[in-house]
Amino acid sequence: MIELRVPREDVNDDTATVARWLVPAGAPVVAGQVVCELETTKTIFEVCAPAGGHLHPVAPEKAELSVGAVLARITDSPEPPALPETPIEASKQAGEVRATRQAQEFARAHGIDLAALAHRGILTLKEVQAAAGLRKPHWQTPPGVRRVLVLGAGVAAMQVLDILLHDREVLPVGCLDDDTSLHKVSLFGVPVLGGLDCLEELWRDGVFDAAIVGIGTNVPVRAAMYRRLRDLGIPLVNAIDPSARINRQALLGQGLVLCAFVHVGVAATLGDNCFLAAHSNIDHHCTLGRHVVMGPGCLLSGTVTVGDETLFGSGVIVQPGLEVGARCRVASGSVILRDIPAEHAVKMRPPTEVVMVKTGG
Amino acid sequence: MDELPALERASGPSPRPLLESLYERMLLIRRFEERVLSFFSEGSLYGTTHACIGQEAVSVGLFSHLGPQDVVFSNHRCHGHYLLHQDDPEGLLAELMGRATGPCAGRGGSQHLHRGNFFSNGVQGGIVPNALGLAMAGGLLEKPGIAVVFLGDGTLGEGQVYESFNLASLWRLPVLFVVENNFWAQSTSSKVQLAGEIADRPRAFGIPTEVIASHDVLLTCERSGPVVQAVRRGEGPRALVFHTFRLCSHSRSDDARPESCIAPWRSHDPLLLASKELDPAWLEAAESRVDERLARAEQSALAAPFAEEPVLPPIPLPRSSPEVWSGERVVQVLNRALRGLLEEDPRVLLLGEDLVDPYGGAFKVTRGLSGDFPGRVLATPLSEAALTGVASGLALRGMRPILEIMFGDFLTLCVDQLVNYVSKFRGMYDGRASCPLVLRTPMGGRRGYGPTHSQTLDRLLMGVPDLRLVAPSVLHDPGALLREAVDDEAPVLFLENKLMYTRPVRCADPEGYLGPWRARRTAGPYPTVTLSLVDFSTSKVTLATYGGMVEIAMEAAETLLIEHEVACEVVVPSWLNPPRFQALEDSLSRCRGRLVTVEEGIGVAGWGAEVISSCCERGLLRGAAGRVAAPCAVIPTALPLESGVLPDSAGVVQEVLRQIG
Ligand SMILES: Cc1ncc(C[n+]2csc(CCOP(=O)(O)OP(=O)(O)O)c2C)c(N)n1
Ligand SMILES: [Mg+2]
Repeated sequence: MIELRVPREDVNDDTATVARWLVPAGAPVVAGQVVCELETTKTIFEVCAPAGGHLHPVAPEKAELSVGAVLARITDSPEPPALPETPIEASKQAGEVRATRQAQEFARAHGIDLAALAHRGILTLKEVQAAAGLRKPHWQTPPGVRRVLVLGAGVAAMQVLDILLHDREVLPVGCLDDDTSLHKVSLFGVPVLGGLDCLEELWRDGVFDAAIVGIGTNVPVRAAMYRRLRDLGIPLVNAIDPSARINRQALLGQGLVLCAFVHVGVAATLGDNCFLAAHSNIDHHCTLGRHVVMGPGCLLSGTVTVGDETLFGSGVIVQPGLEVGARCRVASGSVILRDIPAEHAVKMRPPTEVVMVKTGG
Repeated sequence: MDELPALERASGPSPRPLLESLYERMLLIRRFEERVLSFFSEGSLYGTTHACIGQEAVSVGLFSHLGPQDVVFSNHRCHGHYLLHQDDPEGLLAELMGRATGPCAGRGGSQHLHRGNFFSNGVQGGIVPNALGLAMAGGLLEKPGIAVVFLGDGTLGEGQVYESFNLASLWRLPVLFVVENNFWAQSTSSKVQLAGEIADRPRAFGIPTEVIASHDVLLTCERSGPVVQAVRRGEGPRALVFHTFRLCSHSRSDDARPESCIAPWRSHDPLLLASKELDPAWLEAAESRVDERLARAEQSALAAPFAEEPVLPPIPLPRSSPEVWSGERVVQVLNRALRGLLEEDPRVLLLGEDLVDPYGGAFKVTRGLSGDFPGRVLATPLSEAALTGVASGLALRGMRPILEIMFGDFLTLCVDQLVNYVSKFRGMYDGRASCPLVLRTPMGGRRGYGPTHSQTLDRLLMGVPDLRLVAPSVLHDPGALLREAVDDEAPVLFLENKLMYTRPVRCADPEGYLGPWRARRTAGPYPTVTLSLVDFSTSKVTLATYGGMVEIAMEAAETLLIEHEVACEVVVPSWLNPPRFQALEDSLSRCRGRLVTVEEGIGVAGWGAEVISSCCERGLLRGAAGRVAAPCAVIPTALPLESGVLPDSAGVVQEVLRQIG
């Protein structure tokens, strides 16, 4: 079998149009016989059969073909060759559903039929997720229940979700995270809806009523997200584990995350957007600024003051009445015995000596 | 003392009334120029001037055969010509004083005058093809009169002069070339500037040329008459070479010529020669008439205000042409549009190299037209500079020429005309002239034509006042754009793209879809098309592009969506400069100010740079913006090397991903 291809006639044309077939399909031809007329922007020219045989046109008249495309085949038989080969263009033709790679993967993973969703454009992940019920304001919440969006979808967000999912007054409806690898997952059944750039749009679309920041130790990011929510006028909720013990005289800000067994003592004050991990103790008359983040098991004695955006590792102990300034970072296990001015990192040297003083007997 | 060239005198007794009238005209010019120079030395005039003191006999003799129906294109030393053609010392003085009552309201000044059929421009050379265009238009529009163009000996160094000699002779245009050979160009003697004989130059092109060496105004008058008549009779172009001398400095006060070469000419002062024949009483009376007129002109000019607005209002946009979607390829659409324009508008004329059949233009855009419109599709010599000048002259006089430059790369040869003539006329003539020509040219690479036939030079002509840059794309109806360009009172640079010619024009269906794309277009002429693969308002990045890069940007947008879930809008203006913001602003507000520009040309000081900085000025951007363009490099010929420098869709994808971090 010999293929007859579209020759390059002039430098200006990368395509040619089939003007006319001069022999019917399957007819015998001899080598050198003119079989077809092609037209370019410049001219009409003739194409000859390179060898004898039966001619089987592949392209119909008026078809526009690229230079090098198969125009016809010449075989030994008047029967058309059994080659179901379709032109390259056909793969994009009617019936084919086009979807983004992520949309296709999501559809496969969730058993969604893309053809049912098809429209004239390209199906996006968003659309497929929406169809799967993961997006947009489909959540029916009972009266009084607030739909909450969590910013972040990492380990801190999981702790936040864990609390929110036990709270009957709120319903976490989704998370946002710029890490695209998280976009397909759902956390405890709560979908990751996309990157943080979706925030405005989702808010505009009325997908949620309030939000909370689910970012832990990255304090600047935590603070920035809080400001962004504030700027957009989005209300913040508190995520307070039912096991937390909070004194009735304590003053609480907004956007707080208080994990299991946190204790907030008498008349203590917590500024907005603090994140206190499990077992933290904020004793009586302590004052925490905004965006203070503490690892598990921190122990603040009474009347301690902590400035904005200060980060404590786990198990930090602070003696009564001391002041830790803003934007400090205090390493795990530190025992604070003096005031720490703002913007300091604090680390304990390993204890080298055990001092014992006899106190009785 | 330098020796004078042999000068002639009229023989026989002088006819008194004729001499008197010629003398009085010379006197008006002389006293006008003297007054102007004294204003300058007093410091009461701003700018500069080029007086013609000493040369009056040339123009006064010649102009006695010219009338207002004749078109005159003069150069920097144009006051005498203007006064003779327009008899308007009042206007000229006001113009020099920068007043609103000057013919160009002080915008043109001494060297850039226009009133009636008089034009001047202070750049040497280019006015010669302009005059050809004016002459040609006169013939086509059946206007009476011939075209006269003045050039100095120094200007014979300019290439456009010779391109024009060739064209005028080939096309037998009614043009009179007048060389005022005063033996000096600014401070340089013609001895060190000109090889060979001046008269041999036009003669080499078959233009009959006469040399008149005289300061005797009767003789210049007598001898120039038959030459003017020959041109008037349609015998083709003629040249007149006058030997003359400038008795003043080149401009205000910059005479570097030795006195020894000036002195011998003082006794040949044309006014002196003529006055010897005239009655002293009459001379006195003539002096006072001229003096009185100029004094009045001075008073009225001084009392006149300055123009209020330094910048003219923009040229109104053309009518919007309906788009017709035939599914044809760009080359066919353009061809059909040209045919329609030739059929409908007798002012339309196509010019360019190799346009006629059977060749039909290098890219076949004019195929089949020359046969159907004889005389209106002209195959020209390789003279891009002069052709642009001719087209400009045609447009100045009411024609709608469409000039094809075979490769956009050759636009460099047209830049003199585009920058200092075509786009200047309206502004420097106070909006009293327009130059509605269309210059079509294909830009772009990806054909292996190498360094000098593959460039995208659009940016060289960005920001030229009044010059519109219009670029069709496969998303626009190039035919409608071409009609708008032809209807436009502004000159239009119509930037096509080589690869685009064979691409089908793509149009949105009634539901606003174009394949998988949703499409929007702005209303009015030169529309901007915006495409999106997802619902408008859910895109993240605006890709701004034009012309031949459109399909590359679309391919990149598809990849970005399919592979990276990043939705982009593609904004495609057809009017490049200055950027129009409606569609861009809308798109950027939807995409929250994230912009990447895509162009084929070099990025430095290019279209994208202009778009980005303009958007930045308007506060439309969120932060950084991206620019995809060619590096500042010569485009190589070999395929893999060429591909290495021209921006492609992978580059666009990469830049978008980089921008969104
Ligand atoms: C393209 C260009 N180059 C240089 C100049 C500067 N220039 C103005 S007049 C002049 C001399 C022109 O000499 P010529 O053509 O002999 O005219 P003349 O001044 O003697 O009347 C020069 C160099 C100019 N205006 N345009
Ligand atoms: Mg000169």
